[in-house]
Amino acid sequence: MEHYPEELRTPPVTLVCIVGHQDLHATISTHLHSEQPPINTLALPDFSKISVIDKSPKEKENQLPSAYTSSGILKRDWLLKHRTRVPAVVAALFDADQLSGDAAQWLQVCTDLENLKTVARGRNIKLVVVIVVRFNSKDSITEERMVALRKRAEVDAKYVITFIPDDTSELNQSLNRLGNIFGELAVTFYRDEGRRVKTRLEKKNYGSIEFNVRYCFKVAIYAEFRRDWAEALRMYEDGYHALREYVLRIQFELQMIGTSTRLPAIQRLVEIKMVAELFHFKISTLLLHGGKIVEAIKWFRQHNASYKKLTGPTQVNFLHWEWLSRQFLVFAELLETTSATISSSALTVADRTSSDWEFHPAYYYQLAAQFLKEKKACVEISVSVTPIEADEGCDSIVPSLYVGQFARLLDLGETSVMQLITDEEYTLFALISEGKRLGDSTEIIALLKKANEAYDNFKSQRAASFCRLLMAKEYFLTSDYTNSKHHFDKLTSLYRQEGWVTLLWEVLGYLRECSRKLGSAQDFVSYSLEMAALPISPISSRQELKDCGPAGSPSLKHVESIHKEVFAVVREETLNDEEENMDGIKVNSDHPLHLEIDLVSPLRVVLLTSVAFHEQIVKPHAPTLITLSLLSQLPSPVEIDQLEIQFNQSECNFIIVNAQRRESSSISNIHPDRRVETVPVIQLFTNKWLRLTYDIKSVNSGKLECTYVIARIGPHFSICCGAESPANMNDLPLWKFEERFEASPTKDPAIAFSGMKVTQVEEPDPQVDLILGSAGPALVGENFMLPVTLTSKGHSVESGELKINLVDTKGVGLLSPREAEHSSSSDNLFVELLGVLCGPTQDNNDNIRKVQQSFGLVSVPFLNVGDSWSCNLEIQWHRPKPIMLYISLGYSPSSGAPKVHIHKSLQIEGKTPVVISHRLMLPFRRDPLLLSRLKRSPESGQAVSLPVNETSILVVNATNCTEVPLRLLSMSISEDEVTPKSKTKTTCTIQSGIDSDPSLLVPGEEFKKVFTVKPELNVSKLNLGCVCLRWRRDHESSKEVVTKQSLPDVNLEFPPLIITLECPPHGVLGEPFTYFARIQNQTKLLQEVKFSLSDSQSFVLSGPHNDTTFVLPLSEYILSYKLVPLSSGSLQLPRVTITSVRYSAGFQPTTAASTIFIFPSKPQFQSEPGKKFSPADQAPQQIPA
Amino acid sequence: MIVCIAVVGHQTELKILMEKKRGKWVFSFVHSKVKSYSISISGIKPRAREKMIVCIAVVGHQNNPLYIQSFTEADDALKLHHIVHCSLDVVDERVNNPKKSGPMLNETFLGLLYPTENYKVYGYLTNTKVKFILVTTDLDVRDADVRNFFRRFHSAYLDAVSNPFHVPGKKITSKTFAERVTNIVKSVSFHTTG
Repeated sequence: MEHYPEELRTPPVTLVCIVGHQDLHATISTHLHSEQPPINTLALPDFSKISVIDKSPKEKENQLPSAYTSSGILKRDWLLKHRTRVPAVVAALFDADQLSGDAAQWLQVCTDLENLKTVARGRNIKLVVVIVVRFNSKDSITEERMVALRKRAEVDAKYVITFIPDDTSELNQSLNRLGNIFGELAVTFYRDEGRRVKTRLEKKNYGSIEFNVRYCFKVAIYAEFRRDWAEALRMYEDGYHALREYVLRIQFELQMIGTSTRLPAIQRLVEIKMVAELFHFKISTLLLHGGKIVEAIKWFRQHNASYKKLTGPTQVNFLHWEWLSRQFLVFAELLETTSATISSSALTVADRTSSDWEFHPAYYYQLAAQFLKEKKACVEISVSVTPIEADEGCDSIVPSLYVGQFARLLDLGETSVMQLITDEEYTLFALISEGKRLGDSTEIIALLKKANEAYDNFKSQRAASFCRLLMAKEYFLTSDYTNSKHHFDKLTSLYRQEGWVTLLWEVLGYLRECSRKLGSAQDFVSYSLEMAALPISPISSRQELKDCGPAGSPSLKHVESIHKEVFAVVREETLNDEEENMDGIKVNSDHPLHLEIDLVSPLRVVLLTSVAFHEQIVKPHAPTLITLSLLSQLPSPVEIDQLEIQFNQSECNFIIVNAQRRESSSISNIHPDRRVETVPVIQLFTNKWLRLTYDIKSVNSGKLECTYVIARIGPHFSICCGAESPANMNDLPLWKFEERFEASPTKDPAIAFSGMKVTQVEEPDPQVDLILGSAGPALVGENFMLPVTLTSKGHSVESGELKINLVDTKGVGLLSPREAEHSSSSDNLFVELLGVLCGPTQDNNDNIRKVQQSFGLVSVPFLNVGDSWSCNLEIQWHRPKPIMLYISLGYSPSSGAPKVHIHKSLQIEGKTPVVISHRLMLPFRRDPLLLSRLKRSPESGQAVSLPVNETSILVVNATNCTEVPLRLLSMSISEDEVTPKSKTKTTCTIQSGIDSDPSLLVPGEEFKKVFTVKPELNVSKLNLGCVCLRWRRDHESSKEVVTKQSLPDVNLEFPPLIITLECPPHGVLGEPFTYFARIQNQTKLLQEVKFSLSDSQSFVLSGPHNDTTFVLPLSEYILSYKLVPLSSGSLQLPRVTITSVRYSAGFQPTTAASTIFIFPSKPQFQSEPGKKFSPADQAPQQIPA
Repeated sequence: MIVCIAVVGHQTELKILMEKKRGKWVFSFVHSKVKSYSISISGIKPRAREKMIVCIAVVGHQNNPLYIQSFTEADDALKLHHIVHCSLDVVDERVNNPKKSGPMLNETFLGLLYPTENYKVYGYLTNTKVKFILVTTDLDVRDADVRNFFRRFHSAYLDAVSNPFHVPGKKITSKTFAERVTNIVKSVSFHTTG
């Protein structure tokens, strides 16, 4: 759009003129300019300058031959004139003093007015008279003078206005009044002018079509002046059509008559196109600003179709293309500016579907570039045909009076004369001026860049790429190889990704050429290799593609020649015929070349390396097989001089040398210790895996990974190829779309499927024994000692570490360190690692030793081969629970060597050592009446009741539940905690003789101890304390353990009656003995007691049989019987049944209590005489019965 | 067809203009008083070789060409490749923004993709998301004809990919397919409308 002069690009603005009173001009023009619509002001300082707006003398026209003057379509400066020099309104500013002053002043005013009127009338300019008065002398002008002035000026009263500059509000009013009047008059002026021209148009009152066009243009401009866009558009369209008719007529004339009456053909065509362009620009602008995008696009299409074919004679073809390109460029720019304001959503679906593309400025930019390119080509042709000699005649050719016309300006000393020129001269002029301005390419590139960016914004990456391609080609043509390469480079990724081989081929061809020109051997070789390895199938190369740039059509022939060429370069051979082309491209000792191919490199097609270990896990120092597979898609066989295989453990690196090329490959840079394998030949054939299998020994444990395979070809060229695993190898880019035979990289399909370039080297086998001495189940409460022994058999142990972990067998972390933290406070700590006891030999200070409740870490001192070391783990169980003990030892066989690990685990049961139970009993044959017993059955689970002041018997049993013998050290009853009740004392006398020597308890054996309990205080509940058992395992080293178990509380009761049966421990057949039943009344009440005796056949008895008696308070009543046993053996005594009437409680002695043993004759006891046969001694044996 | 025109006039103002518009001759009578009128004479057939399919392409899922063949003797086959490639932008846009295409929902025929200066490009999307792109120099082709062409082309494509030796996603290398496509292209004659 910048081609156009300013007056065309912007809508015309009303122009008014003010004369006189120069001091007010700035104020007025500023105000007018800010009016809506704005008004431009032509300020003339005084009336003598008024002639500038007068009709100019047509000097220039006079200079021209008369034939010429009428032959233009549009005058070049007409619009400019109307915008800057011909005002619609002239305002004459007079000071009030001038009017009211003396005659001389008035005369001056009249003269000025007269002059002004003459000028204005010639152009129909409206006249306004402004009288500047001071605020305080508003009414100083007489009515008479005003009338006279009005008459002089020949204007309506309303066009004579007063202007008061020295008061703010009055000034504003005056300015507004002025603005309104100017606006009104300007509209009238432009309408009148327009109408005048239009009348001529309607009456067809014009000599030729040129005038038709010109009038249309004028009417349209006038319409624009008064902002009547619709009218303007209509007139522009009319003008455009008229021009079109004109074109057709000229063509017709040319065809029919062969001559043209007026301008020579070329120049006329140029003029017509210029005018058409102008019309088109105006129409497009109006349409687009009116939001009619669709119409604008239709209009453009039509415009393009009409003029596209009007190329003119071949020697000036370039002018046409330039013109056409400009049409597209201007339209694109217009579209871009409008589409920013009008959202595309305003377009309906129907509009869009017609062709989305046409709504994008990018499309027009692209075409503009395309036509400009065409122009460039035409210029080149024309220049080659027409010799340009420096003709000074051409220098004097200037744009003439009319739009699109040129003439020679002849300098005749004082004046100058325009002279028509011939077509030949014009052509020459056009070519020379074309030669002067340069940078078609720059322009083309700029256009393409715009198109590229615009397409990018629309996410049309492919179209954007296409523009970039054109751009890069243009750079290439202008020998700007750096830029060209930059843009071509950006293109490759898209074409590679989408597999457009032909497009990629073209781009790579250019890139290759660019790098050749830039002398970059690295780029040249890599682009050449990539090109050579492109999948050029015979099908796709069947069609010759001719416009493929420097690389030629993609065909097998070309591919092979590229291959040959690049390998000649890297092998440093000389190809005679291409010597001159390869000047910059050298690979030699000064310029060695190293290419890297990684997973995403496009050069993977050139050399693909797959490395597979045959085993996924290997032993250290044990040989394993590795298969190295190489694949190339290059069209001809490639011979590799040397292959170097690199691992992450560099000790494993090795080199494979091609025997045929041993001398050419430089072995010098190889480490002397490296393993070198030699094969007869390393040659890669197209799409055929070269498989090499070697065995390899790993040195260190851990990961062994093949990282790179470096192929050396020629003395100074190498390709470093990242090794890939066959298991997760990606498809080859581009080739994946080809139908080709895809072999697996290894012969063994299993390895091809799962082979990896990484193998895991195991740790060396541990040569240290880790022994966990298992001592059977652990017992709850004891400090269980678990001996751990390390014996070094083949390795010395350095910086060894022993990790101990206790885990619940159920898999739940028994006591992970975390859990232990919050569980240690509560009582749910079941198993605890108390400590690790090491041998006494070393001091523990420098050893790391961390012991937590379930985790321990112990460092192991240095051990030589053959040494051993042991420690004891001290573990305590609080509850019976099986746990898993995990112990792992990590050590280094030598300093710095990787660690070797041994793991051991052991399940340990935690068992309850003894089960303690107890039993409370009444004394033998003495039965206090406990009233609470009457009310319930004895089996119910309530607390046991004990009679107060009576001696009861407490039997505590301890049973060994373990499988090992235990030694009981003591059993006692202790008061657990000091309670207020503790004074209420139980008297516990230990009567058992095992008190002193610890008894051995074999598994399953029960140990009993009897205590007597005598509650002495009448409280309802009695705390018996707890059983305290001290024991240890039955061997010397074990420590004693105290197991405590508290006894349940018992109730205390006062017995109202106590019945005691008395009889001797045994009888002798036939010898009488006495049997008493004492009934003791402890209450202060009289107790009625019934008793009865059942007979027994074994005895003859005397005594009361059946009666009711009373027992006095706090006394006792004794029933006594004399019995004579009639038989021997264990006999039932006669049964006494006693019933207390008050408590309705009956008593009958138990069978045991009423059994007596009768000897047949008096027995002879041989036991030591000191020992008494006490009933208490018998009691333990009798209780189970 | 031979058209004979006789211009008989003695009035100087009457001008008869001839212009070739879209392959038809248009005669315009320009009179200075009467505005202008024109008569168009149809029936002069364009030469058959001028308007034809110049390129047909099958494009795969990754926008990779599976088959591309151009039918032009000129040197601009590569240009046609570029046109096909660029038209994929429009296909992408249509497929990704089905709203805008409105009535074309669920239709395989994508219609006119974009007009270049000298070509028209049509698209077709199979239900396996394989794209067919057609480039023609015939600027007045009817949609129905193109649809018909695509239908025939689609069946040829189906037969080609149904070959058990064809691997889906790979380029179509079948010679039979190429021959068949050539035949279809040759047999198709887009009738110029109007």
